[in-house]
Amino acid sequence: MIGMLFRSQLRNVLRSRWVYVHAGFFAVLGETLYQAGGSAAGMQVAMMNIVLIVLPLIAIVYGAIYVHGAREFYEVLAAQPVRRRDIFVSSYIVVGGALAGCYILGAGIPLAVHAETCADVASAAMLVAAGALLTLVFTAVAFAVAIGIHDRARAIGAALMLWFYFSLLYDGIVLYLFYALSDYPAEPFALAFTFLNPVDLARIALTMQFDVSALMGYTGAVFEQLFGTGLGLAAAFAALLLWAGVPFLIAQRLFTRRDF
Amino acid sequence: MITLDAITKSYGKFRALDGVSIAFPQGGTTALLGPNGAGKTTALKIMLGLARPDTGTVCWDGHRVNGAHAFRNGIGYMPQIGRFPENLTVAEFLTMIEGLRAAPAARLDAMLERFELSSQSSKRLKDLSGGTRQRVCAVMALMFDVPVYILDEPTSGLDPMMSRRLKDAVRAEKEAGKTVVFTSHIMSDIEELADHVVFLLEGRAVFDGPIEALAGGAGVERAIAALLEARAT
Repeated sequence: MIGMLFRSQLRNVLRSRWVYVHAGFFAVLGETLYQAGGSAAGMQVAMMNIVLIVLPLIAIVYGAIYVHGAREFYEVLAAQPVRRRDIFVSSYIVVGGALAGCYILGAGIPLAVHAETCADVASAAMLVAAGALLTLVFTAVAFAVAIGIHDRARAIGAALMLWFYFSLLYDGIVLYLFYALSDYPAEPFALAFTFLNPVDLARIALTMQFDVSALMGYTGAVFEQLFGTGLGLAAAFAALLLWAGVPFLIAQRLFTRRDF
Repeated sequence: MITLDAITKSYGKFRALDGVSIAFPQGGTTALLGPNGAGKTTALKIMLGLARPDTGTVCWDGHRVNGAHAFRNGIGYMPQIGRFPENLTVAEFLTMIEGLRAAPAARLDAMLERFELSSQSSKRLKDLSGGTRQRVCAVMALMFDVPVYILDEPTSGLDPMMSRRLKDAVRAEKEAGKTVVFTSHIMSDIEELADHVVFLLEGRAVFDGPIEALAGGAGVERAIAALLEARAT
């Protein structure tokens, strides 16, 4: 039954031009950055900075709009003999999977085309994987917000505020805290703060792969100690999965209890 | 038989249903009527499990169904507004709905014919007019041979010919002994189809009985006006 829900929703989403615009955007972006920078490594670093800002924004806005647009459809489905959990899970997999898949396709094309000039294929793969995970994280956040807030404009506003918080505001708050507490050793806290923001987590994990941690001073060395190892990297990706899992479970709980 | 027992439902401070108890007679056609905001759609949604009551129970043949889902295999539901995944075709959408049921939609082709959708089954839902989407809603509900049909303002948005066809289909189900529950603001539809009427006002059932007992020889509209006047004084 969940298979039928999945197939139908996937067919619907894959016929939307926006997912192809999403894939095309990253393909064009990657190629443009390569042509401008002249190297795959430069392209990766520049792309990382854009991916970390743009991907969460696209996922959170598209996810929130999708959920609100599908409200009457969800009502029709919930009136059928199916579990609400199945409706929710299939919907999340379709939206998150389509966005992540199109990103992988779009970003993957220029990286694959220029793979022979790429010094470190692993870090390119990391960039693609981290972006896909961030997409799943912010799609889950979007679902939780859009299901929890019934008014469409307020839901999209709240989603945008969350994106703003995780992408920009959070770093400002952390920087202010470090500045205010500059007399104390801040490195262990920096590590903890990193895990409290999925965008920062992805940024730090990727930065370590691009071998530019020396630019980050002593804090960079602390990050290098953790994220530079296979275990640390696995911990970062596990934390990102957790960041997708928690809002997913919250959204699922809201969905199974909501009134249509 | 479907029964709502002492159902209370609030949305914030607004009490949509206030201790409503209704027994929908098996094999009968029940109309839920009342002004906007009286609680008609909320009552239907609680019957279907689309909304959770704050208190009270919903029973299906004596079994409590709050929170269950399998009982909906026995219900054909026509929503008030037909908004579906825009990029699916009519055929794909109806096939999906059929795939969610335990039994196949035995009357899919007949209903597509009845509502003149056979030639439009390959069209995407986004390309259909509001009235045509409403016809898709009607097919979605009536394509299953089930014991209960729940229709939320079924004729709204339909042209007179399609409205007639829908009412003929409902009448056929009624004659076949099926239970039909519908909401409507159109008094002629109620007089034509219903044999049992529940009049909701401010979340309470102020009348629950055979249509003859409500209307007498005066007609439903006059009877309701008299009921509202009596409540006001």
